[in-house]
Amino acid sequence: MPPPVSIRRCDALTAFGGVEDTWRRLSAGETALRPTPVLGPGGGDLVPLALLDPMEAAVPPRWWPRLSELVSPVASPEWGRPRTPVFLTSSNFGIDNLCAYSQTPDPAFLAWGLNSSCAERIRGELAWGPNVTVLSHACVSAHLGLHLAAQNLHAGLADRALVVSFDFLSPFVAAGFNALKILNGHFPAPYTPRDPGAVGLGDGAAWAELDLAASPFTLDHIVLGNEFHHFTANRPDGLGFENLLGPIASAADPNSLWIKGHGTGTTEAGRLEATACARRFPGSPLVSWKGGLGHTLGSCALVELALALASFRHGSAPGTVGTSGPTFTPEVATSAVNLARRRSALLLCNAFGGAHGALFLRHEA
Amino acid sequence: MKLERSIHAAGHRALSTDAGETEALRASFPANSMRRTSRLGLAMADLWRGHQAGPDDTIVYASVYSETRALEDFLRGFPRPGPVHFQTSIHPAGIQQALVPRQLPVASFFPLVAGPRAAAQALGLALLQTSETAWVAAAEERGTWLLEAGAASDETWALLLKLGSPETPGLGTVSWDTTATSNPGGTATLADLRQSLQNRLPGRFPHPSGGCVTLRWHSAP
Repeated sequence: MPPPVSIRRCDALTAFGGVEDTWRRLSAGETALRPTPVLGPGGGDLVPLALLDPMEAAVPPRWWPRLSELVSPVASPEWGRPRTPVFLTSSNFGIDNLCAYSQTPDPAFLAWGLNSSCAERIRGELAWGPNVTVLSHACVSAHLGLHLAAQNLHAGLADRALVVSFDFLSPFVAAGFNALKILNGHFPAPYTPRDPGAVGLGDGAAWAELDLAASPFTLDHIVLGNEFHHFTANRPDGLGFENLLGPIASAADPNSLWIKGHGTGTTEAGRLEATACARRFPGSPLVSWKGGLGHTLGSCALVELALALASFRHGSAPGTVGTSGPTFTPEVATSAVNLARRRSALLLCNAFGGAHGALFLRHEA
Repeated sequence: MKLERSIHAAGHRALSTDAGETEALRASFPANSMRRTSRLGLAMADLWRGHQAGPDDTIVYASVYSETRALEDFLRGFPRPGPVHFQTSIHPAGIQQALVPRQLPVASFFPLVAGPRAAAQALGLALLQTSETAWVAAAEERGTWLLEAGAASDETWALLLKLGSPETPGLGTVSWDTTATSNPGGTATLADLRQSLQNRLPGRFPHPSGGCVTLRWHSAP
């Protein structure tokens, strides 16, 4: 069993603002989602989006000042060197600029518009060296970055590792989820038997520095799984969730565990996740924060990890935001969870293609 | 530290711009299973014929541009773009289109956005895994209006390597000596990896974590 990985530093940004503001407003049951035209300035149906700024095309992208300020503590040539790898992850990188280019063919948009060019641009702007691994796997992107960072530390290839993840919304992404009909006129109510299900989307970014020295917060297990069953659906028998949770079940005491689920608000995936969690960890409260933050897509694993750390620090985890009616299981918590006796958290994320990720986070008070 | 695996299978598939070639390839799969599959997805699916990823396997997938045509078509569909092009436009969709129809779950799947050091990073990542088998795949798709803008590949191609235990001899070996002298800032692109595989040329790719990833072949193509 590899040693736990320590979270040395971690920070995040959501439509609510920084980690403390976000934790406070989620704890108050607030949502940052607002009915917003799906195409931004281009109009369209009103859908729930949580934005830091209007979705307007710009060079540099509208999100760059936000992201560069967030990661300024790690914008240094000491990162990206042979012993200090960076794992840069996003689902959509600068797709807003590719979208803008398709409508106004100004070459300046292209410098940020492709995943590869955007990543190289960010690397240069933040003065990182060449040791930057760039990953894009939809909504488990940040989770993969954490996994590979831990793997590099365990292999002795790194003294410390940096994971950075971001996803800022654009008409491209909003129109895509709208076309799939899961981003619609309804606000998300995770883990509720409601038809149709609905997601909200939100801006999000986060970073974490990891090492193997002692720390109050450790990642004891980082588990992956890929069903490859369907592009946008999970196996109906829930086997993907079961396989993910199995390796962690023996390490977790349900009495001291709480679970931050993926919980986007889609009905079937919510049912499968809630049911699998209740079966493996009966009595462990399950929360989702995407009804407040919106789904921050590729960054969600890292954004929500930062909020889980804040929850431990405050001794209270925000409950499921946006859900007030019946839930799939009694474990779904719709109000704040007292963490006085809870020392570990299971943090889950899923993605297109039936991808799954689980982090087992331990807090030594 | 030195990591090593044997190359147990290797394949490369290119698709020309001839629409007839694409449709013939599409028709060679079971009826309707590849009806909506992109050209990149078809090339990748062709490479996976006869291979079966296991539930404990790792797949590393690398692409600079990935699903270019789906991106182009989705963007041209505004203000009402379609759902199929959206789900196909995500970065790992090329290989997902090959594996989802076959219902082959795997433990770990790492889709890399390929940059100047992608060959070393993709092979190095595969060597780091503890799974018995690690697959390395890479692909690009020829663009249309994005190609004119210099923002897409000018060819459609895919490659696949199956890496297993070094105890079992294969077509060649991939190794990573993390202490070997190299230039960590040097480049090792997917084009370099493709050339090595197609022509069975030795490859020596500087890894930004240190050392070199080396590709050696025991046989001709």
